[in-house]
Amino acid sequence: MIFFPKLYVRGESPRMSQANSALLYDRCIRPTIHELLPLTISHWPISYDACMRRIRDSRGQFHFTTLDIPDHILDDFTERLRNRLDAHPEFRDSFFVHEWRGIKGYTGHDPVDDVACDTAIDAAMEDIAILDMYPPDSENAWFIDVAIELSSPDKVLQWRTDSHLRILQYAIPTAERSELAREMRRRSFHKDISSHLYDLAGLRMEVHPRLQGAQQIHYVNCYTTDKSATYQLHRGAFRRHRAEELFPHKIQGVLKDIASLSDIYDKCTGLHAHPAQLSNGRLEVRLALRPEHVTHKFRNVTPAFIRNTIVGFHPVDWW
Amino acid sequence: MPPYPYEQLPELSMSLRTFNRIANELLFEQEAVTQFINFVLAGRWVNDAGQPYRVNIDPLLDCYSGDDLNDVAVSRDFDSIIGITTNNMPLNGTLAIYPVPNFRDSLVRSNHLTWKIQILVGFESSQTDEHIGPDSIAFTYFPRMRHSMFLCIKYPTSAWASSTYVKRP
Repeated sequence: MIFFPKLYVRGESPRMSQANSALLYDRCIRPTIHELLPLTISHWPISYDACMRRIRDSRGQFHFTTLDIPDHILDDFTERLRNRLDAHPEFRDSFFVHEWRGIKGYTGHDPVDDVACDTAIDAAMEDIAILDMYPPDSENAWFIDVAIELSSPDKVLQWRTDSHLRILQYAIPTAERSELAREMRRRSFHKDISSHLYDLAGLRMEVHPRLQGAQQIHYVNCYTTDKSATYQLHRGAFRRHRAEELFPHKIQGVLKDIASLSDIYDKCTGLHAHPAQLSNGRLEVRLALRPEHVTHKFRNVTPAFIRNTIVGFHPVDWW
Repeated sequence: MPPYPYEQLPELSMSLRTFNRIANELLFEQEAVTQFINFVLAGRWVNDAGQPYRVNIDPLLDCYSGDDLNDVAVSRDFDSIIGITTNNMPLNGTLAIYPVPNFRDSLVRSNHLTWKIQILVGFESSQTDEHIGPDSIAFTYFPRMRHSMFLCIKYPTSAWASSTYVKRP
């Protein structure tokens, strides 16, 4: 993604206008491709407007397509694009943000196994040219989410609300206990109460720069995975229902959603044909991506930490 | 329905397991729907001796804690990487660019990082610093790492077992 801070207007939508999108493609991206890959330029639409017409079908639906930039020209491409961006006042001071999300599936490992830890970080960073991450005199900044996950073979685990300070001390060891306790009363701290049970809750905290320490810990997130049974990115049965949905002409929809919820919860108990839906406790921190920080973070999880922060429930009791 | 919900009642804390057991008994064994609703939605319950209570659930009663949790396993992982660069793209592999990005991707959620930018304020156009998140800055969804590979699983056995075989394009 390229971000354009010069287009920032306080209180206005950050959405890129069509005019600026056209300027970006017509005056910056396509001319750069033309210089570096002249033989392939016929594959690139002659203008943003022409491309918009091409990707729209007869029903007005858009079908977005991509074009490749091979890695051997990437440095040249970036440098020339940078120069072109800086030539337009609205694109000046723009910067690139690279994001890899949801990579935990292939980076899980035993925290006490040195080799497994090294292999996991190598896998996480395989798309990154490591030696070029922090060129001299650059303002580049890189962050990584390091997480631990606690799991039980037969229990639903939940975080204890009264352990939040202990969890924060573990996540941000350089911060003073009293400062963390004060931070927990600020708006940057959020308690995510589990199923209206106030003694059980996860937490989220945007860490104040004063407390970030050498590891530059920006964010702490502590939650449980039981939401995977009902979590939906789309609008479905597991959404917030409003009072107006109880009117006679809408109530059938609510009843259908409640039946769907009840059915899922019933299956999660494990009393029927399916195995029980368990829940793990996850603790994540976002910190600076430097070997000296990442190598040692969350490598030592003591039995005392587990005993004091987590409780478990039988799936039938929980669901 | 009893008077609701103003009269003071003695409080009673119970575990999640006990709460579930009583709710099940009220609904499925006694079929006492009104009492069930009073119990689960308003925390009002009358015991066998006729004593009414205001019920609280204390989930720390009867749960597994302390030494009960000696089977808890710990794993570690890396979940996201975020890089902010100005003059280079230190990436391995081919990139794929959208000449026209999907408008849906032009909305971004906070990634809990902020940038200091200078903005012009007032009639004299003086500059001031402001810390803002990525969800406030215009951006375009630009390159992504190329993933051209798809994996398909074919099920020849089920195709032969079925009397109809639908060939899809």
